[in-house]
Amino acid sequence: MKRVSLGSVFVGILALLYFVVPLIATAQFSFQVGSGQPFWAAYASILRSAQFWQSLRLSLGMALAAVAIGLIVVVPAAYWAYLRAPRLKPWIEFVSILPFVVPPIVLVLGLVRLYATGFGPLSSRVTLLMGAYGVVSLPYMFRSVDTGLRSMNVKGLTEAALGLGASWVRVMFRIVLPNIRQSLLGGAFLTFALIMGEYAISSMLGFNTFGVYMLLTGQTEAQGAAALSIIAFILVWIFVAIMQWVSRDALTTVGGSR
Amino acid sequence: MAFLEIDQVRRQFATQVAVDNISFTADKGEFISLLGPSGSGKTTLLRIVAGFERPDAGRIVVDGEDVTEVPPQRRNMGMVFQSYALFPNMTAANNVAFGLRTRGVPRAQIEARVRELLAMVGLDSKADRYPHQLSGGEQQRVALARALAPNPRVLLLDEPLSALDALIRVNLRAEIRRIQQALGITTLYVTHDQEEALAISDRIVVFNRGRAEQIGTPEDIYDRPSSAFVSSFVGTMNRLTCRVLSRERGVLALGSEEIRVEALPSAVSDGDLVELWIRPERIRLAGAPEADAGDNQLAVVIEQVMFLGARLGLKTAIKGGGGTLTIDVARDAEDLGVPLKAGETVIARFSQSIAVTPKS
Ligand SMILES: Nc1ncnc2c1ncn2[C@@H]1O[C@H](COP(=O)(O)OP(=O)(O)O)[C@@H](O)[C@H]1O
Ligand SMILES: [Mg+2]
Repeated sequence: MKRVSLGSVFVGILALLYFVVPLIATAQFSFQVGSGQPFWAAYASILRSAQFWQSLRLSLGMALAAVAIGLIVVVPAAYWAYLRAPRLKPWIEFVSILPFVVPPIVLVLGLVRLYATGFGPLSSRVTLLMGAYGVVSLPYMFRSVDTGLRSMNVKGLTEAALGLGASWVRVMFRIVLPNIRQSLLGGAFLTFALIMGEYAISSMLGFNTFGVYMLLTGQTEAQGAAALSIIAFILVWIFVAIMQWVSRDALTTVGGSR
Repeated sequence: MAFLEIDQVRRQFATQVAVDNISFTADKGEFISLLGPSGSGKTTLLRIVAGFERPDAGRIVVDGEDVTEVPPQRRNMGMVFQSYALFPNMTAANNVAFGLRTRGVPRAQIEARVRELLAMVGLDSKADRYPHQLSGGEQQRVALARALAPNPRVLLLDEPLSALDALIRVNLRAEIRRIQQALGITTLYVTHDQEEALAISDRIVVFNRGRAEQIGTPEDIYDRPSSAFVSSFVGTMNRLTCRVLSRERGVLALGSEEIRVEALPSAVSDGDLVELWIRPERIRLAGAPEADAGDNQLAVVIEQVMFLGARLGLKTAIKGGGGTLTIDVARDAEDLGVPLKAGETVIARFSQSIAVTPKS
């Protein structure tokens, strides 16, 4: 046991270095502003910029929307596949990784063509961006939900609940979601991280998302870009913490009826 | 008047007929075991009764109401699964309360009922534990309490004990029976363990390849098995192939030996092959043949002796080529004058009133 844990400690340290060293280097670089300025100058100028807040709001909204789409589309679909059509699972899995295979430019052109001819509000650019993000985050959401469902006895628990008189809504909110909560959070985290840094799609659709803002900043001020990376990193963690907190409140209280 | 009626139920998966025209009824408060080997259709029938599976044909009637088309949510049946299927995100108490909450029972009543049920299964002190903090036996107790909490019309159990240790299994099955009798709840109990079925059932339905081979009390099933399958699936049965020498006098040839029986089935005639069914515990041993000759007496050679605690299990070969005979004797039986060990020859005695069936 001792020897094994020594090995895993070594691997752990290696992994830690792999993640932490670039972070520290970035942070350090972001502090190296010219003499006569306080070390947080780069941060201050970013936080004062209206563009930063605008892009942040846009990307956050998009990330939330993508997570919501994932919840509404992916969870019921994956659950249904587990419960009723285990044979369809490989196909659903295949569809879910398609966004990895299709390059963003193809996706965008496809979307534009589809929606440009448009039906009212559905063809607005914001909806377009939202749809695109919903699609690119699909693999992450699906993988996570799949992991969660795999680790729970979907069929047995569903039947137990139905046998006890539960409606499908109740099964979903009292049994399925609470038991895949950790995996859902994992998926939400990945989706957030993905969308906060996404550049290709939004710039092609002409949006100033957080990713686009980051790139522009990087082209003009080096320290600012580093500071922005650190801010983005902290932001993602903050939002995950918030989601964790909210979901615990929403999903683990068992009292009341419905 | 039958409370639960299973009427000509049939279910087929692709080409596999899982449940083949099964019919039986259960009275209110009756405990019926569905006994059979793995794959014989027990679970499928139970799931049809619960509403998780649809029959291709047939009806399920509860208390005069045809529930065949009623979804499981509205059947009001309590189900206990082999895998426990407790909700991992809820404490024992909340698991038990689940079926009450879905029915909108007021909070105060729920609390009282949960406490009552946890006490009934002996878990009042562990109400706040999560399933993963409970042993297998405790989890199954919670599952039983959860199933019983909403006062179901029928209790359905699918091999509830097969994942548990032998000792816990025996204790818990006695407890299931005690609670079932106290509540007077109509129960279907699926098991592949014949000893379990014999121990706790009012009646047993023996399953074989999707068919009900025999339906009867444990005594019926054990003492008067209706088929070769039932005879060897329930308990151990010696099945000896004999030829009828004289139908009139009840004389059979077993190898080069002769056997006498009191009665023969009406359909056989001289020269036919028949099977003799003898339970191992119906055979007594003697050191040497005796003159009174009311019983059949066969010389057998002991091949193997198995120590079973209070009893000994003997595998023997009948002299004269009659086949093998399994004998079960009390360990402290009187001294035969012959040691019970491999290679010795002893006399096996059994009554002339013995079951004979035509050989198929
Ligand atoms: N969902 C299913 N799909 C296909 N075949 C099934 C299904 N459920 C059961 N079977 C088949 O039906 C037969 C009876 O199964 P089951 O009722 O589980 O038997 P038991 O509970 O007696 O072991 C088996 O041959 C099994 O393979
Ligand atoms: Mg089964």
